[in-house]
Amino acid sequence: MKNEAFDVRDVVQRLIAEESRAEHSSDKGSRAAFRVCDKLRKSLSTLVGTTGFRLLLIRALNLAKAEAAGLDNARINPNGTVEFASEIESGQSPDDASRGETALMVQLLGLLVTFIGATLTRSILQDVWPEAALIRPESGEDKS
Amino acid sequence: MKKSPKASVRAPALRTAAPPGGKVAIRKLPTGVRGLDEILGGGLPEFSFNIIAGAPGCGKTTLAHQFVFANATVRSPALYFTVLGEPPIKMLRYQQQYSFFDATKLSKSVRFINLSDVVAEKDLNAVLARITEEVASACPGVVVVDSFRTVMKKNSGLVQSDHYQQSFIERLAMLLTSYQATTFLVGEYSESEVHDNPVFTVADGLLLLSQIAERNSVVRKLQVVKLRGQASVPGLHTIRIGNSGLQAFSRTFGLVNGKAMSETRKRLSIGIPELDKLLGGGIPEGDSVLIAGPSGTGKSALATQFINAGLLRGEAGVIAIFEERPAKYAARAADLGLNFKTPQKTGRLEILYLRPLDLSVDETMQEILEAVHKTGAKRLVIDSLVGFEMALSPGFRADFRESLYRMIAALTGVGVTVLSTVEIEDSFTAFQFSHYAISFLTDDIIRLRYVEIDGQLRKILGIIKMRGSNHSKDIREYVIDDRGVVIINPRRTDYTALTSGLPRQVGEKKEPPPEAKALN
Repeated sequence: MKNEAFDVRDVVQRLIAEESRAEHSSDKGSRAAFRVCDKLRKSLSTLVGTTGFRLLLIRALNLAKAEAAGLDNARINPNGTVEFASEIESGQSPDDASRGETALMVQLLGLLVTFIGATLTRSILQDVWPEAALIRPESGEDKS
Repeated sequence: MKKSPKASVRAPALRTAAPPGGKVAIRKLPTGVRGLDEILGGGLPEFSFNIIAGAPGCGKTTLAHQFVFANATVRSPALYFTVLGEPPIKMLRYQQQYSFFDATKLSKSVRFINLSDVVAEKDLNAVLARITEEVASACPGVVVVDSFRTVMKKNSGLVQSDHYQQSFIERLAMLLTSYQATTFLVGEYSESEVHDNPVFTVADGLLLLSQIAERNSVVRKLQVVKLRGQASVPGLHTIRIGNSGLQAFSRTFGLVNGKAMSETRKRLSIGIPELDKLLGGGIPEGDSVLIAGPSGTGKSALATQFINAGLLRGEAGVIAIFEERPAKYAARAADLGLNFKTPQKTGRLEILYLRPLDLSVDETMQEILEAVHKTGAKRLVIDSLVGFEMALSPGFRADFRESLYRMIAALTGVGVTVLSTVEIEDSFTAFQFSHYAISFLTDDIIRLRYVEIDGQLRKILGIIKMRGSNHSKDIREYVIDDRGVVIINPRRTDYTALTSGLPRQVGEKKEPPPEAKALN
């Protein structure tokens, strides 16, 4: 199979953008990266089990903390959902909070790519976001 | 129970032509495992409820994956339920290394569903409910539960567990059958557990995989312990796991349904006119011929001439060699004036160099058979049987003669003429046909040997046996020159005790030796 481009950070940003576009009035207040993570949780829990997903997310969180200190306030629940302290509670700006959530998603997708490769990861993501364009047309190599 | 609308579009059995007598036609699904369909009697029965059992490392999961990827489609997807055991993410990591793994099928055609949480936290009823929910939603054509043993083991401590488990298995089997799913339950069951486990009673098919270690070699085996509704090939079949997944090697080498040889068999020239005469006109087509003799008596030259005679008549050939490279073998043929390079290029001749090392005898023979099929060969040379056996790992040698017998019987049965060479040490007190104990599998035996005459080691040959036909009883002297084996005209000097290797001249010497003696 052709090794198509898969820049993890770029893909995460595309998914967040996709969720931001799809934002409904009922979602106001919840953050796009948060919803990306939750949608992925539902899909990945079917594939690897709730425990399997939760353990991957814990690992991703530990890795992401190195680049986003604000994640120290994040917690992974037993069902695999992420709980963030609000910006006010954590004293972070919304931009910092968004940076932290993005970092967490980048690490989570990075782990998936490490374990099962870009092709399968993309297949899983495409299943959850069938309309999302996950490949940059100008890229020619797997950057993950 | 919610039934997916997709259920109405998938009714494969209805598309199958009804056999005579109004019996139901059972469609056979390809397993995706090379060689396995033939062992199963044409494939796996559609809608069957099967078990793949065996110790860890035998290839159970890989076999299940191959079946899944060979049969899953968007309209008739496969559901692969994973339970504890190997983490699914690792399973996907490793399984995608095989060539059969088609990542584009994931999600739409092949769906992996993890049941670990429900198995760990709830009971079998909850497991069945979850499977039912997924099956009703997807209406799959294929369902796999891996590992099923884990599901059962988790619940084995419950009161009345036998009845409870049996009920679960029966309900699961009924559910999956009613949804027209072909099912595999994968489990780490040993052969001894097959007898008293309810799951094996319910199952339509049971494939038992095993690993057998002998000295430094390990060979994987597959046995079809049970398969309802169709005849499978009995016995233990060698399997190998390679880049393309599992490959199975049927004990019948896939030749049971080959075209039978015609009743009237023609005679094939061996490429030496005088020897053809001794053979009563040549080798009967479809015979197995053994050329036995010590080193240097021209066994390979004779085999080469046999193949060349076929090529000249437009018959493709295969030569399986074990002791030298094909280029060298072809060069030696060229020394005899025989052109092997052109037919090699055009695909009419294949010279197989086989150094199997840890390959089983069945796998090696499969390579020979594939070459025979590929070239459409009517003549096959195995040069030599001793080299063949020595090239095998010690652990596989015990099966050698039996496998060789099966292969030769299968090939000759469809009209391929097989010429094998075997090296034997010449005794100067006895005349062995073959100490190798394989003469039972040959129709015809030509014996070559040295004799000491007048201070020279000269060569003689004789036809020891030709099954079902007459042949010359003469012992003839021959030489090997730049034409190969050349039988010289009948000698007029009489000798006795030629077969002892130390003949005595009887009467007067009437001619010079065929090859001049060195002068002092």
